Amino acid sequence: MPTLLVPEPPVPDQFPSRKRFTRDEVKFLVDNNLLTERYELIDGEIVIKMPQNHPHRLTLLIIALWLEQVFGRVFVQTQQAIQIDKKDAHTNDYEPDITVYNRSALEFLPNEPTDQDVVLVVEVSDSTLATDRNIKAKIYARSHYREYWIANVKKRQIIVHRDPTADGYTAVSVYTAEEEIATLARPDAKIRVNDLFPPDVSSKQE
Amino acid sequence: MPTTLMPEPEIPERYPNRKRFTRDEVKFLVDNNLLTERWELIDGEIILVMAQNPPHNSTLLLIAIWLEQVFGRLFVRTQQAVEVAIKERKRNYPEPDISVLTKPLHEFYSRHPNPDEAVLLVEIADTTLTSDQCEKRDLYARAGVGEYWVADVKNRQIFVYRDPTSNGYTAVSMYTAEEEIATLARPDAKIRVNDLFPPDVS
Repeated sequence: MPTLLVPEPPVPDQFPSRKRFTRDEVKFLVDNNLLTERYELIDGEIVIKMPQNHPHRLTLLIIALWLEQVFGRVFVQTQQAIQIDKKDAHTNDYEPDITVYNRSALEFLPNEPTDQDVVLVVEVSDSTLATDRNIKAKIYARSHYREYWIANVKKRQIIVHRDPTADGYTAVSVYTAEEEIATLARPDAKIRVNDLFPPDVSSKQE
Repeated sequence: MPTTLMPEPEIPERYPNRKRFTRDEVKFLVDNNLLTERWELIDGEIILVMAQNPPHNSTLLLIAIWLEQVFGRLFVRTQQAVEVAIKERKRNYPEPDISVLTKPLHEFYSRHPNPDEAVLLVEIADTTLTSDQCEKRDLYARAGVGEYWVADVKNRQIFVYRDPTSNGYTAVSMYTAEEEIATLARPDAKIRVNDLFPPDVS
């Protein structure tokens, strides 16, 4: 049985009165070479994207391949921007690691998919776990995305968020490696959580 | 007797990989109208200086006037930058509410005071320090500023920070309204904490 999680106390903002950048302002920084790295704009904060490490990339690939088997190749995309609620859109700009659609991506691209198109959003998380859980979860919930998974690479767990409200997801549970998991959209297609992560090299060496 | 306080726990970074701006980059933002508010730069983060409420402003005025009486009119500066440790200047530009200086104001028309030219910095806060104000205080400690006061307007208290080290101020005490307080530089010039705050209307 997955473990139900009570909502975490919000992480206090270290800089409560910081300047929050908008997408337009960030574009200006990029155009003027003040921002040359890959970045995400999260709640007005410019966060530099670290290169993905090997376990992160592998996990992303394994989960995407499984979702493609369940939903079909043209229903799954990686690193595709999705529409964010108007209130949040000007200070938030990032692409979920994986998005799963209820219709072929070819039908709506190049338009950004909306909550009407998306049945599952997935973030693969190692160093970004706190942001993925506390900040992005709120943004995705406010934009009505009905299911949001965080794959915790280090712990080999999936955190499943359901029932989006304006205050965040109200049903949050953790699935550990030995449990079976399925999406809301295809509850019949089950998989063991452990099979969504690459082989654990460290434990084999012991 | 003032109450001795333990240092508070550090707040973890919400965005460890956030972009840290330099002074030059902030100047570029200002020149291009991307930053039109009053600002400070703390650890590469641009902090907007909020419009202050009336009790905040009158506390600032009362404390500044008392410090002018103690140190002289030309030795007290309000809402102007002070320099920090040299290696931290590139990504920091803090502005204390009040600086008490060792040299008169006209020395600082073309530059800001160095940390060793400040004997006391004062911040006016609504209650306790917000976490960005804590960052700022630690910056002054690392720069070696000998004394730092935080005036808690709501509770009519003053937090006094002394003994700066590279890890922050190690001596922290709180003075409540009925206690007497004095600066390290002029221990003879005492005042009742309550007299540094505007009359309590509520």
